[in-house]
Amino acid sequence: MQPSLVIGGVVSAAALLPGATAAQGSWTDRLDWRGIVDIELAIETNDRDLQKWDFVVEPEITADLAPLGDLTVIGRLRLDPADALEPGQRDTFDNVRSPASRRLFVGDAADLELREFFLDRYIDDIFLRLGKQQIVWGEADGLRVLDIVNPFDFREFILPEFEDYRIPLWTVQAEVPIGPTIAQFVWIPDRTYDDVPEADGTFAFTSPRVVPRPPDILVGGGPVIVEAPDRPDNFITDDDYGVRLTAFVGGWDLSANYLYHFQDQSIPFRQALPGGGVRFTPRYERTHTIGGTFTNAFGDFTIRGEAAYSTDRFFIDNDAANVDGVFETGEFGYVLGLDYQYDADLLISGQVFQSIIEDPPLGATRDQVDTNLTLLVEQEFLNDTVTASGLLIQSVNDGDGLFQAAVEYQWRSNVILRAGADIFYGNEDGLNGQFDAADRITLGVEIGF
Amino acid sequence: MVFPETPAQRVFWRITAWRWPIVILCLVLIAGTGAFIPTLVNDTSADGFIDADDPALVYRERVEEIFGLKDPIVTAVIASHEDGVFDPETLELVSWLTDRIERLSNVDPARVTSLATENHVVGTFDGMIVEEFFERDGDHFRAPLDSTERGVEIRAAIEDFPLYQGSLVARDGSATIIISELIDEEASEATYDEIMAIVAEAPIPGGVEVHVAGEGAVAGYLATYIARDAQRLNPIAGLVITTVLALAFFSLRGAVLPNILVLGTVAASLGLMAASEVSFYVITNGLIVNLIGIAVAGSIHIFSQYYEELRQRPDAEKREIVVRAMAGMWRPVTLTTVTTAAGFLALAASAEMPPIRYFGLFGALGIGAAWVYSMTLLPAAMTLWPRKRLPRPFRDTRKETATDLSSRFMIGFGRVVLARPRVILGIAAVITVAGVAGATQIVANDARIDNFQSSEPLYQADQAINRAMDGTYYLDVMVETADREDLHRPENLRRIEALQDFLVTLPHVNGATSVVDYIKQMHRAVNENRIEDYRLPDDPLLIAQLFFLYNASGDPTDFQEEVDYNYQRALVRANVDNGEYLTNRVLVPAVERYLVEEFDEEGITGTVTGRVNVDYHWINGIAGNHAWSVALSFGAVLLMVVAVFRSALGGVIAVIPVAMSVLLVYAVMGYGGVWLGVGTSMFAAIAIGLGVDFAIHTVERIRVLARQQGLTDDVLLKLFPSTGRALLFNFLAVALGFGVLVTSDVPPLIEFGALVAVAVSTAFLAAMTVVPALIKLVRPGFLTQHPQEIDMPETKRAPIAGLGLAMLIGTGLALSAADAPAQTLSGLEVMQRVEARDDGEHVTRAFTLELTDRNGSTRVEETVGFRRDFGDERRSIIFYTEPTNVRGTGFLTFDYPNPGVDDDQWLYLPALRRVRRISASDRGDYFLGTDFTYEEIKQEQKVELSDYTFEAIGTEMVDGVETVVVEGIPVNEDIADELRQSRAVWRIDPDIWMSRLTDYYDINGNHVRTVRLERVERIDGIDTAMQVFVQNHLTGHSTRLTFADVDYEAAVDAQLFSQARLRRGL
Repeated sequence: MQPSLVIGGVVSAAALLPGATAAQGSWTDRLDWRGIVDIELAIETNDRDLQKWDFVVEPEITADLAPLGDLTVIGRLRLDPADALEPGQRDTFDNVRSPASRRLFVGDAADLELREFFLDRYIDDIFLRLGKQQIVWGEADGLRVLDIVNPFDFREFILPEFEDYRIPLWTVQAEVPIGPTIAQFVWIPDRTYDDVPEADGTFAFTSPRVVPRPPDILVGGGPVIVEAPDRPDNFITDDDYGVRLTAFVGGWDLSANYLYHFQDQSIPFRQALPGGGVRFTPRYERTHTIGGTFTNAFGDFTIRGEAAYSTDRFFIDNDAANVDGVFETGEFGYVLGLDYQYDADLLISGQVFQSIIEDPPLGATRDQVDTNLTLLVEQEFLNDTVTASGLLIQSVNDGDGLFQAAVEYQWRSNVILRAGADIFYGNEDGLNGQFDAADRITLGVEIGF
Repeated sequence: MVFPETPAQRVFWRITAWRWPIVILCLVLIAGTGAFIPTLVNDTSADGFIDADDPALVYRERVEEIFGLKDPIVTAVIASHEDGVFDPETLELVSWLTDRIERLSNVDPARVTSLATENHVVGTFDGMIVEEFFERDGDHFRAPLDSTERGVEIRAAIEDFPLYQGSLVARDGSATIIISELIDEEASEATYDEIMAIVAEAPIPGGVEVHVAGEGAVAGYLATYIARDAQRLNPIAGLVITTVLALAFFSLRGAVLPNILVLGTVAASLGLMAASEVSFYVITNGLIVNLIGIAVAGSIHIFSQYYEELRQRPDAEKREIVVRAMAGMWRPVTLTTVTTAAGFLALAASAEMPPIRYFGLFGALGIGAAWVYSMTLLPAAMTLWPRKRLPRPFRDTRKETATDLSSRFMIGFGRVVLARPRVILGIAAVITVAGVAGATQIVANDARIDNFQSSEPLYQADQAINRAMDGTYYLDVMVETADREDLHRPENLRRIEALQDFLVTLPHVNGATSVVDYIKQMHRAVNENRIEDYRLPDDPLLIAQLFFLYNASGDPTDFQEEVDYNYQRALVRANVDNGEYLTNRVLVPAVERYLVEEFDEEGITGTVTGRVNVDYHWINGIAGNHAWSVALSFGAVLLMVVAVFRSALGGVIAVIPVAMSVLLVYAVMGYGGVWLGVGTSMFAAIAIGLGVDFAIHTVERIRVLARQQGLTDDVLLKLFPSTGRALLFNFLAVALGFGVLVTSDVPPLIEFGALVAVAVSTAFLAAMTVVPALIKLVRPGFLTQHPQEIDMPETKRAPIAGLGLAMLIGTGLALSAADAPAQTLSGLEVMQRVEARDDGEHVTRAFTLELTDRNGSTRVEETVGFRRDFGDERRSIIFYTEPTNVRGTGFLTFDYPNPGVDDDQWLYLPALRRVRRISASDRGDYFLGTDFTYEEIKQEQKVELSDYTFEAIGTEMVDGVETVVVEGIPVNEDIADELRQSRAVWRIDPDIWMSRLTDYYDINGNHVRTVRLERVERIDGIDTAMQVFVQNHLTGHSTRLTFADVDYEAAVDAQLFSQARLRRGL
């Protein structure tokens, strides 16, 4: 069943619920539209090739559809004549997304996407948000311990803004105040998972951490077949479900999270072919993730933390002896962050992220304890019109990393000029180091209308 | 009370609110009035100078009708060789030129007079023959046409025919003229050009010159001459004025906007002239330059005031600055407009000559238009001007210190003046005496030919022709008799003959002609050409026969310029060799007297007419007119000023500079031999109107300063760098604007421009010297008294003052019973009242943040905010709605009553889709890129009492409200560090218990920010700050916070103040 139809049904039902008030004013008063035009150019520093030349238009319409609720629609039209990030047209791999969340490709260079489409509705104290939306959990910046509700689009790896690389999903969300806490219930009938570039894309994954390397002994001159991912398709039973409780207690922001979901990364199950060769059949596996967050401010410092345990995580095992080339483990991950805010204009933020799994097998491509560090320095100038920032993501295990430097200038109320550099470095087997050749400088302008 | 506080400010606030419609409307008006300008008709004719109903003109037109006279173009052939014009080649040239001129479409061939057209009258054996001088194979002229002999024959004939001597051929034979009358005098310019073209082609033999002059030529050429002059002068004036503006303001705005005003003013004045079908006269040229200077003067004062205001209030919004500047300047600008217009109107009222009347009238209209545009278009356009930059000459934080050259110069100048007031007045007295003496030397004179430079061909032609011939200026006398053929009667003809004899006795009259000359010539002809028979016959029948005989062989129309068809009216023409009024002034009255005495019988009358008479009459009015217009202007201006300052002494002081300037100009004219003519006669009225502006600005400024600070030398000195500087540039603009006329090709304009420039310079200098010196010595009371004190006798004043005092005391007592007056409260008590002010338990509102950087670049952010008290805890949430890029950003604060407990704050960033806990900022940190601190945003016009020790340090007027000034010093270093302040000064309005103006000083004692409460409204019974502006003096950045849709009554849901709501958005 199409998630959009599901949501549509829920929306219709919501309209019948009490608490709605009649619409007032003409439709022009109740309709508001705006948008952003974003033009960004990325040039690779190695060969000075044009990596990206995005023309993005993101129109947004909000409408007061009382008594139904408030509707928000955000679309995205993207034209990238450089066509290097996702060369040609998407085919088989596009089925990582459910049909209702797919993009519409127009030629090689352009695609259209309904980014968000949701209806907000209050029923007494209960808040409903129904439709295609993003739900963000966790307190960490850019690290995925609890920010797992929505899958990611890795067209540009993790370089874009968070909101741009999350894939919004058709979701039923309800927030119910319960005493001093708010309980958020999430039902996601949209079975869409991480969108990873194809092998010819600039940011196609090659790191052995995520791309299996079939042992020679198994291949033996035979073919290596990679099947299209096998996407779950059962309504209800394959849907994701979650709940989060949040509270503000004694100055602490606390949350407890639970998500029953499919891990968004496909797991390349390996199968040795008779007579030589291997077949990879990527599959998605369900897991329970349970965790919590905390944050508080002390003077100029804010501490943030999140931790989660996933019951069923699968990682690659290139050992030929492993029948399906993957191993299953529980995973505990946590992030500790410390922000230092000085003078309202300078932010220094450091994070430690660790992922700990059970004792990995010999052919595993990751360590039992995987540690990453991040450091963000952000300074605002000239009454916050200019923001200069530097972000360092360092993998302790692989020694690779990513350094992002950016300057943003709010030239006019609605015009932002940007320049930046994204530098990958270190071990090419690392998650960041694999893109060493994709270092780039970027120039952009964002115009709101 | 909030800005705008005064009625004037409110008016200009409203005007600037309508800035776009006003600018568009004004531009449409400018275009609309300007559209008429192409329909303006040039009128350069001499008749244009005289009223169409003037008897002299009416009579002359009648005479012209009777005798078919038109203003001719005179082409003179002047030969310097021995044979004079009688050598064959020169005669051939005369013939050639006559032939060509006759063929011109606008020339009546029947009314071309030259040697080639005229006849000789000569007796024969059996009577007389009338034969053309150039007759081929004639009876009298027998020699071949091209021969020397024919030349000899013609010379002999002319010598034998007195009528032609001096009028057609020079008495010495050195010149002859071709007189061509035009069919359409309006087209004289084209005809003049055609004749000049013919002359250029003519086969002119060596030693021969050809000149073209005459009234028709003057009128024709003058049009071209003036148009050319106007095209050249006006851009120069514009350029000069723009340069002055650029120097005055170092600002594009200051240079561009006044020029638009100039455009509007000139368009209004000339457009209305065109629409009223008033012609463009010679002197109208001067009006344009005049208006340019005047239009710019007002702008200079407004701009100066604008930049002064901007310097004092660098943090204020541009519109406010504009409104303040306009509110400050409308009065003097209006006064000067009224007085200048009074000068122009006085000119119009006193002038008899239409060009001057219209000059005054449309000048006044233009001044009115300049005022309207100054009061509407200028503030509207200034508000719309994209930037708010303080130009270099005004850039100075120390208010009283001048930095630019012109201000320093004016201060130095002021010191000298104030140090030696008696010397100044002594010099003024000397100038006055010299002026009075000079005025007695002035000569009223004018000459149309003097409209041209002496280097002009026309001028030279005029001079040459009048030297060689009897004169091309005609003084005519029309002799009328009672009945037909009365002019056959010898007694009448004798009177005419006697008149001619009389005329030639007059100065500059070199000859006189009439029909009598023909009769005498014919009589002689029929008497065997005996010289003794060159006389009038005694027998009327014989006279009739002579005419009959003439007609038998000549053309009967030959006499039409001398006598009418019925022989009832004759024209006697005297040739005068110059057109100066000084000459005419002698001739016309003399002839008039003669006619009264000699033509006093019934049956024959004589009337003076002709161009000389008309010119005499219109210029004759100048001297009287001038005196009248000066008196009228002076009176009008004096009345205005007295009314303005409500003080006779004030009026006298203000008109002294202008009186001196006029007297000085008289001295220049008297001693320099400058005639009081058409152009120069206008200077005084205009100079009075313009010159008094300086004194008005000066007196007005001194009055404002003196009322605030008393009348001391220091106060008087303040006049110089401010108003003095503006007046300096005002003077430069006007003086240089008129000075541009000096480069004109039209001499009267040169003189006019120079005189006005001298007058304005004198008025400026006197306003800057004599007025302050006089005020210093006399110390007039009207400068320091408040308006209600003036014009009220002491006997009336005392009871009113007593009553007022009683009311004041009573009110004070009543108030003190309820609440102690703010002035008597301690600093802490005042601030306790501020802190206790009701600001509602909850509120919903929208607010706009307008963030402007030092370059004038502005960002606008719009938000919706909610606040609610939860017991002692106050929570607020703000959602950004505009611009799109930051839409959705939200900010949530929990503010706890214990100052020792940090606030809790959260920020929702749409790009993260996540609520981020942020550390409570230092209270002195700036709020989200604004110039407000977190503390100010939180406190909403209140002050945390435990942060400061307060002291009330006096009172101060802020925006017209008396406020209590409270100084706050942070109680300890920690608080000072947290607030980033070493001191704060609030001006608390005791009516609303809010600070109208607050200054903050940083830890180092620098004046870092000024917060101004710009608008307060009472909403739901709660005084609410609706607009607050903060200027950061260190960064040049400013923020204006404007609230809207404030509602204290609508319920605010407690659930709103949650992270969930922050995330969900509005």
